[in-house]
Amino acid sequence: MKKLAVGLVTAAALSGLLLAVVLRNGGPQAASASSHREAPLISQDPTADNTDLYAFVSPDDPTKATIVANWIPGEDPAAGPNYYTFSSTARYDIYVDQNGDGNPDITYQFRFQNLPGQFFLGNTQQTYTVTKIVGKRSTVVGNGLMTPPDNIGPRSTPNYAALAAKGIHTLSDGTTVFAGQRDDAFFADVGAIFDLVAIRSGTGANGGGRDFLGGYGVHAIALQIPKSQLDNGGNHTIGVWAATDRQKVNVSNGKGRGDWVQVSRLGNPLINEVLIPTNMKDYWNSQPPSKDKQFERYYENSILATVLEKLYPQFGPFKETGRGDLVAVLGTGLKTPALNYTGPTFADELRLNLSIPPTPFAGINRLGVLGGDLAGYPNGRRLEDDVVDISERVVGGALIGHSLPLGDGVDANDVPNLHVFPYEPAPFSGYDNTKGTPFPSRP
Amino acid sequence: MKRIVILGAITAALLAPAVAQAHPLGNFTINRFARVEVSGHRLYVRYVLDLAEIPTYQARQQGVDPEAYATRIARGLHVSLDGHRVPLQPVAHALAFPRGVAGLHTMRLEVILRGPTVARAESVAVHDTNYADHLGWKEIVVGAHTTSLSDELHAYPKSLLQSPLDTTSLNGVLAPTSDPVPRLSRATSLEAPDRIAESGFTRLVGHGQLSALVILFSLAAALFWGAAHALSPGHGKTIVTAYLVGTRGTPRHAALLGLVTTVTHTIGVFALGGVTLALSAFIVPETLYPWINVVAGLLVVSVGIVVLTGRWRAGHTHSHGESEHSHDGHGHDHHEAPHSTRGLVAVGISGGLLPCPSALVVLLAAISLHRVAFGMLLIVAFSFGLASSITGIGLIAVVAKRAFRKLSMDSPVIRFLPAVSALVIVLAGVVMTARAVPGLRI
Amino acid sequence: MRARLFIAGTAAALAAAVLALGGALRHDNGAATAGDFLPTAVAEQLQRGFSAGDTQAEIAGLQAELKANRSNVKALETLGLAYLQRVRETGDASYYPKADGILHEALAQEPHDLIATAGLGQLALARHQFRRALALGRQAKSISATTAGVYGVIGDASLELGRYPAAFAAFDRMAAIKPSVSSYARVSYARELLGRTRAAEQAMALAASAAVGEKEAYAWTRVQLGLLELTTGRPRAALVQMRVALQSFPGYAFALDGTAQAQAALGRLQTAVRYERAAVDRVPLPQYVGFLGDLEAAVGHHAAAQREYGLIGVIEKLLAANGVRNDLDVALFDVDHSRNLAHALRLARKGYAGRPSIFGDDVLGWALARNGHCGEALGYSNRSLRLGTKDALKLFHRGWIAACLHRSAAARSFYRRALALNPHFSILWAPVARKGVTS
Repeated sequence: MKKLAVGLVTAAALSGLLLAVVLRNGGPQAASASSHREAPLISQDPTADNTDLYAFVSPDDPTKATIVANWIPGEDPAAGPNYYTFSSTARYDIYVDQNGDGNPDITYQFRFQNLPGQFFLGNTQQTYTVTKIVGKRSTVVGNGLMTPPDNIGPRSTPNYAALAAKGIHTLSDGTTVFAGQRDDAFFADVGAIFDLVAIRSGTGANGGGRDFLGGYGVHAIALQIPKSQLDNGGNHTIGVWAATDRQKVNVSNGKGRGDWVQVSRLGNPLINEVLIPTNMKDYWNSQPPSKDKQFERYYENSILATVLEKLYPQFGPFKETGRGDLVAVLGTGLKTPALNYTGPTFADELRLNLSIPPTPFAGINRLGVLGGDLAGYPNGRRLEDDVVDISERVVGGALIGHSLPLGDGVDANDVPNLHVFPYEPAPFSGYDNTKGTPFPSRP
Repeated sequence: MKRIVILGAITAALLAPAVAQAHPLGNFTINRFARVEVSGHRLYVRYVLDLAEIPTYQARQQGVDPEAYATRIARGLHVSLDGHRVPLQPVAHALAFPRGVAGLHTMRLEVILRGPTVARAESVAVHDTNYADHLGWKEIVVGAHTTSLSDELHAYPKSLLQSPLDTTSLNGVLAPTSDPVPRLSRATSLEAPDRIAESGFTRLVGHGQLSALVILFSLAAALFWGAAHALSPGHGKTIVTAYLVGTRGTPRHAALLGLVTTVTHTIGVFALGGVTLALSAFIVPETLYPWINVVAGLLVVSVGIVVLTGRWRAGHTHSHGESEHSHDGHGHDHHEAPHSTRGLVAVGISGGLLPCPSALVVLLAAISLHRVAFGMLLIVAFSFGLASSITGIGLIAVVAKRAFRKLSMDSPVIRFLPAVSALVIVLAGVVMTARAVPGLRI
Repeated sequence: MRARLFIAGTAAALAAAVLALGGALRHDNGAATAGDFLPTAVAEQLQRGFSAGDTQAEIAGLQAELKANRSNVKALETLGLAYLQRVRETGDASYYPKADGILHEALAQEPHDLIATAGLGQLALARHQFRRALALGRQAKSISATTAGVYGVIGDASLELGRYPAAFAAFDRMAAIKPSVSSYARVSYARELLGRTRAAEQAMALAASAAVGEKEAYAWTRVQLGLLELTTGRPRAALVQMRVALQSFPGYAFALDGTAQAQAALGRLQTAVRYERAAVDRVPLPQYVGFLGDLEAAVGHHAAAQREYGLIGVIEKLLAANGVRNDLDVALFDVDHSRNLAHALRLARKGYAGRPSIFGDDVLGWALARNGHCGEALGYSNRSLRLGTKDALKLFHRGWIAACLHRSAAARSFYRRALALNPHFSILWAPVARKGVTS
């Protein structure tokens, strides 16, 4: 009898299990029912999405450092009438940490304003304001500046290079600025990464990959800042990150109205995409680097090493835990070899040692420090640095005596980068869009 | 036995009358299919239109004139040979209104369109502009022998990885052939009541009208379905067999097991149905998965241990009395009765309650269709079928064991078989539990 | 002897076979496969970025990935969400069962997966299973309390269940974690319910701005802005919003319906018929079909109107057969058209049980009133206005009930308020309200 009771209790418990099946199989099939207000839930916010960040000492002018931050992933040149612009309701930030404490010492804030006729006339030009905050002092260093329009086509935007050149301005503090559409300088064979079989078939160091980002555009903010404004006079190393804020609202419009909330950030490449688990992404994006200690374990026990173990068993074993080397590269800078160490505070920043002279364009090694070129990633990041290959190799153990020729087979951007500010090439136009093909053939 | 059961199940499946079902692609879709082919030197198009319930209702309100449909379709289908649009002439059509859900109908119209002659291999471009703004499956194929993903709108792929096809333009090459002129479907093929290959117990309850014959058929099918279902994994066959081998099982025990299984399964499903409906608001079932598995595993372990200790004691106290008491096969098992009955009930429960989603689906479907009594009846039949299968397996075990028993007791294999069986039960339970534990989140 | 041994051996073999086939030892979820890992996660992120607004391409990519490796949980859950998005874009509900199956598959592999749990919550919302949605939302929150999306599920479900304080708190939390189109839009809706239309518009404008680059989401926010204009009697402004929506997402059914509403408010009934018919052709929601019938009737196409009304009956049957809880919408239609009033009241009561929101209050109150139970109706009607929502139709219902209870001054006052808010609030009832004010 007791057993029977136990059985019935089990039965009750089992109902939960069965419910799952019921709701899967027995639920309404293909019903059309939506009368309540279904707001989007899974929409991305591309205009607030940081895609890449670069920081390097300018090879064409070693007295200046350049920071390029990109937003809005995968801009399709032929997307009209849905054109791309910066968001007029977001705040775009570029932060510089001079003393390694994870807090910003210099902040550049950007706000964009739409011009009339944006939607129907396809006017993609925007004006913007730049505010610089040093310590607690906030100064407007640029006002009413104009972005170039998006590259729509030879009739709407003829002679694009000249149009874009007009988008380069000088701020009141002597900094040069550009904001507007550019070709995405990031290169990676996403298709191959996506298709695990393909990447498994080779080590990927032999080229032959397809630049998945070829032909796509982004919106970029580029700054060229006199080094004297950035250098701390000590270890000469700054930490840089970019972020996007949106204003909070609440139902009752009470306290906190208008507060800015950080919704996206980017220091080192691929962190949000690769290391931070889904459950933590919103939170990680809202936090400043000074609080990154709480995320250290995700950097330390790199899931990527586990993946490499699976992908390249012939090169294993890969060290999957206790990766102090990764913590150093991404969180504090490298002490040995002396490169860009900024102190013990763990903070996800792109660290650039301003005292390391830039490598001339012709001599840049895409593998950066791993290739013996100290002016490249992870000492800052240049447009030419192959961060996918570098990351795979570093995770593979390049810094702890486990050097491997890993890579995705795409070694450079699909179009040559510029050798002058703003360095990222002009975007493809909607007219001759060639997205995804290895190299564009223009008429 | 197993073969009979399977045979029975197949028969039942064949006999089960076609069931009216909602259109698989949603009840307001208009689905299109065009096959462009050449017979001899003549170009033909076989065009199929499959309207779900709502558009069918709309169409019939206006009156369905198949000729007009055919003409309109011919106009809306742009076929070009070597870059030149060619005229298409409707030559034959067939129209049917297969039963849909809720007493409504769907509509299937097939039209044969005749085009120009094709003298040599020519490039063909097809562009279908018919019903451009309507949702639905849109498929074009070129060539008489090209496979249609939907079997010409007869069987839409059920795969979770297949989006509704959306082909409105297609290019290909056509050349003269010796193929026959395309023909229209007839009878069942045209009526096509079942557009997906969804066989199963669950559809029994969805019947449009319940005549006595339908009910009878349904009950028989449910019975067979239950019997077949018992043979799928997870119904304690292992445990039942091992139990009956391990204890002094008799045919009566096997029958009793069947009864307990039927009863517990029926009660179980009813209880689960109630609990499910009541709790669905508060619990996310997936979180219970691991717990349920653990409970089920532990239940099996405890049954195994009970049997094992029983064997252990039996082995010591009447290791020689065994055969005298049970060789007649009439259940002279008084000295073991208390433990045996409890064990049987426990085994019966585990056999009757281990996950059996189909039955619950039927019950809940019945509730949602306001046919609760019918659903309950089906479940009883289903449970009975389930039990008969388990009993059958049990009987095989019992008979086999008797064969053992007549053997010399000196054989170590025979001596340890019961203990081994008990160990198997314990092991099975341990494995079940061990698999379930890592999923727990405390 | 030999024969017996044979039998015994056969039995043992049979037992072994049964054992091997049996459930206890069957398990295939062994070691994790490469697909669980990260390159896919990277790719998925990047991929999502590329195909923002191109759900079809995203779906195709994920399907291909899953055909190669079905145990890739990331791809499964992303595909599940993409299917849900596809329904929003096309109204093609055949994606619902697919999303359901795929998300459950993900959950079966990872029972505590955030995305799959929240995705199922979203699916439950779409299917009007609000209590289940709430449970799933809470479950998702227990997995990650710092993810904004889980508060969207919780808030939406709470809202439809009439638990307004809880819903508003969830929306506030959501917007505090991550201001985005999703949270802005929800805050906007909450403000609208509270009768703060201006503030609602502001939040929805933020939502629109944060949706740039996501075509469907952007179109949706524009439609909502248009509807806000409509509720305050500005059909011309509404029309502009609907046009932007249609330009961003051509053929968007919500925008077609919105255009029809705006055109009707401007008195261009023929144009309205055309747009509403286009909306119905795409997605025959009962409220669309009902409105189309009303429009047809208003332009004198009585036969066409009757056809649409007949179609409502068909849809009603289908929904019932599918177990969809759309009772309130159907009840509202039936009550509005004096069809089957007693049955409509039963439907309304049933619908109210599943959805005790102010919408439920309103429909049940209206159904009661039209069945002559004006005293009981009054309570529900008052409840439907308890948040201070500025909804002309609810005010009209309240006025009608007052008239039914012979409180003519109150009736006139409510009618006046309804008309002041939106003189075109209903093609059926605005004229009644106008007459009521003067009588």
